[in-house]
Amino acid sequence: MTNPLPHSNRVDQWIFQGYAIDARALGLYRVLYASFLLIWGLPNFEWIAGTLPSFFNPPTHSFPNLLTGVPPYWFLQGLSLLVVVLCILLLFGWRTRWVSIALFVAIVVGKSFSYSFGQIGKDLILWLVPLVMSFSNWGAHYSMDARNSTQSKTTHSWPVTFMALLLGFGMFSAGLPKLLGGWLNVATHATRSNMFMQHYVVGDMKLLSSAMVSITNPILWELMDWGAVIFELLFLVAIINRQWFRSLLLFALVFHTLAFLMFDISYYTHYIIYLLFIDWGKISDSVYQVLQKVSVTLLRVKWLISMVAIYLPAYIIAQHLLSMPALLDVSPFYIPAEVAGCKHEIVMGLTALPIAWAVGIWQLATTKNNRNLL
Amino acid sequence: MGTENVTQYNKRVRLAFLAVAIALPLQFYVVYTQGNLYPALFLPAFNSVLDNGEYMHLEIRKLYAVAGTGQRTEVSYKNVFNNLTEYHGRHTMDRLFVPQAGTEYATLDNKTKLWLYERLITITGEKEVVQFEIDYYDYSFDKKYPDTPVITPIKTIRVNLND
Repeated sequence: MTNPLPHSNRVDQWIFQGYAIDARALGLYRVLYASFLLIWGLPNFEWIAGTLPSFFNPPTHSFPNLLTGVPPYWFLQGLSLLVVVLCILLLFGWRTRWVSIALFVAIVVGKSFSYSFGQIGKDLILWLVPLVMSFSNWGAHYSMDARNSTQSKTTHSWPVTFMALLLGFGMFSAGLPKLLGGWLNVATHATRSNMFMQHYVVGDMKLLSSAMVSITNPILWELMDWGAVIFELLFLVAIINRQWFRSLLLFALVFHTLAFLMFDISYYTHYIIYLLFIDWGKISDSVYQVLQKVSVTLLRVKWLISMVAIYLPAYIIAQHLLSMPALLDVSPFYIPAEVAGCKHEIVMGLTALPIAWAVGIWQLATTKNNRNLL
Repeated sequence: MGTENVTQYNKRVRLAFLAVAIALPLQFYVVYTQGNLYPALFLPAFNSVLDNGEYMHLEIRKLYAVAGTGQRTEVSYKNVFNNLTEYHGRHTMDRLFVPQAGTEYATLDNKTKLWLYERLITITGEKEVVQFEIDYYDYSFDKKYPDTPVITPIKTIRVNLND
């Protein structure tokens, strides 16, 4: 049941109904998000303990800057395992709101230390999803909470609009420095020079960068410069209309695919965020009914306890007694960091990108009037 | 939810949107001007233009371990900083290996120096490593001939490991 809200003006209309989403779709998205993290994206903070004090250089405005060094190993391992357990709890939908908030806090604390050695990652938006969506009551369906009769079944769509605002601003913040930095100067080719930097400085490029280096056509490179800047800046405009936003997300697939082929950077963490904005109405009631039956069977206390009770000792034994952390990563389902000599980023891209394309094509193919989407 | 509660709830939601709409540009300003903030929602990547219209310039670093025998072996920073991710390794290298004024020698604290010595011994298989060197080069690419850069040495930074 979606909360009926009075809409006093167009801003309210946008906030509360602009990205309206079915309550069942919210539950399904929660299951998919938690599964995504367990398979593709959970961070492990244990490596931080192995760094030297001289490496520790936290950002000036950050919580670790209040400390004199990195926390001890037991804390970092505990935090890493806590993140996995919270993610499993989110998957099962147990005390979903508080688990979602705790997951955000635990990951951001760990990431604050991870980013205390020079580089600050751009993945905050991925971790903001559980915090923001906790206000949507995304545990109302396909969850253990759903069996609790005292649990509210009222869901809210405004957190989806909120995520659109954050994503729109995030992409805009990628485009604006490019605009200010001279990417639109037709005498220079920024995409090309950055590809050269990846190719020669970062090195070990696996995909198309070797072939692209020899392409000298100035029109092609300039089109890429302009295309990237316009695409990223448009995000902030597109959030005002859900159809525009969805159309831009389809272009984002093309954009990320090109970036993956040229730079070996997969942006795989973005796809699960984009998934929030698809047209969930394309999923038929019969599919939701099947999911309901499956969730009633699987999302039970005994399975939850079994999963955690088997996983935690197995991880600790594997790591401490068998010294095999790379084989059994912090998440029990995590895709191995390297497969057959292929680096982590490529493995992630090759596994996530086809799924993202399949979803995009399905959305496009099932739109009766494609003008609604494009 | 009663009508009054709904109104109060909506007010709080509107306030949250307003707060974020103000906070996002502010944190953008801090990150763009100082670059030193976490957590921050900011997705910049590849902002610079390494191209002056005629040539593209890249600064390339090459790392060497100098053995007691004088043998100079190239090592990758990914190998040296194997307990850090790729970009952390480069940031850390640039921050730690700063030459003292008027010299090309950087000094490290004893713990870091011992760590570096042991890393280089492990990587090269030498019995003794006396110096770590970073050569900086400018790779200049003519737009028409991208496969043949003009390479110009810029500087070398050295760290003595045998004292």
